[in-house]
Amino acid sequence: MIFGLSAIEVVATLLLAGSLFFCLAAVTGVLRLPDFYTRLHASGKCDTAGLSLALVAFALLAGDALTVVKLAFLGFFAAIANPTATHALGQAARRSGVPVWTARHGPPR
Amino acid sequence: MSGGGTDSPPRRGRAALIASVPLFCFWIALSEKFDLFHLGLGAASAIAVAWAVVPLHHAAPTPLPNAHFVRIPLCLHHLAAYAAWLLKEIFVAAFRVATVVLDPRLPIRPGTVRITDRLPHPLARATLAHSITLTPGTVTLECDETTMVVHALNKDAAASLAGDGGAMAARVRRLYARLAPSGTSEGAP
Repeated sequence: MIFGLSAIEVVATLLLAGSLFFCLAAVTGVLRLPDFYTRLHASGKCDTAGLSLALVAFALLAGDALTVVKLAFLGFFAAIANPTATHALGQAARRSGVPVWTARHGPPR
Repeated sequence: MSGGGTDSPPRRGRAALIASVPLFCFWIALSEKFDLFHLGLGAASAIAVAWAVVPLHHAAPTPLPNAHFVRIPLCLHHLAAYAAWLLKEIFVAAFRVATVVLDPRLPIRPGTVRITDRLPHPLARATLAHSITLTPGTVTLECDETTMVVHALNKDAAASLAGDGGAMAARVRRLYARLAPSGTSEGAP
């Protein structure tokens, strides 16, 4: 017992903190990075990691088996859908001629 | 190149009906509701989704032979090992992107890399493109039969794909080596 929390609740809280870190990094990336493609990296990756950590935390707290199974399905579908969406956005941007930012365009904003 | 030919509406309807059965079972398992309203809603959406998706089975450049699905259980342990490795890579990727993004100097050197892959099967290429998008600092922008265009966040990320996609392509190739139906391989790896 730490601060009145059981061991499982402590682990779940730590996982949620990790999830929050990745989600915050995703938001910071989207705001700070210079162009569409670099922002894709931030939103696509940190989101997948943040979501899966949160799902594991929820599964620990869920208590009944069916909810855990549903959360596992959520994680599986997110792991497929997130990069697919990232790729679709990147491909669409490339095909419609969005320029790729490189270092010679000056320092990032 | 559509191996299955164009789908006539009755054929598509039959295929959609068959495909909707597992979807409907999945609906019941998730909803746990057995009244007419929820079952009807589930049946309707299962059929609608199956109808929309059936043509995609034939849209693949090489339609997957049925034997393919029988062979998958043989390499489930390869698949599990690959999935575990990929999961680890996802977290490494997220952490690296996070450190770059949170660094006050914002150390990025973005650019695009073109890689030529010699993977034997469309499914293998899709897996590689997908895996590249999931891992450190790289997003696949374009993927066709011979090349992939990848956007890299910095030099390290670009370097990790050097030599026909690097270590990841090698892993995907190993994963699909047993899976690939003979006769569809284009060039030796």
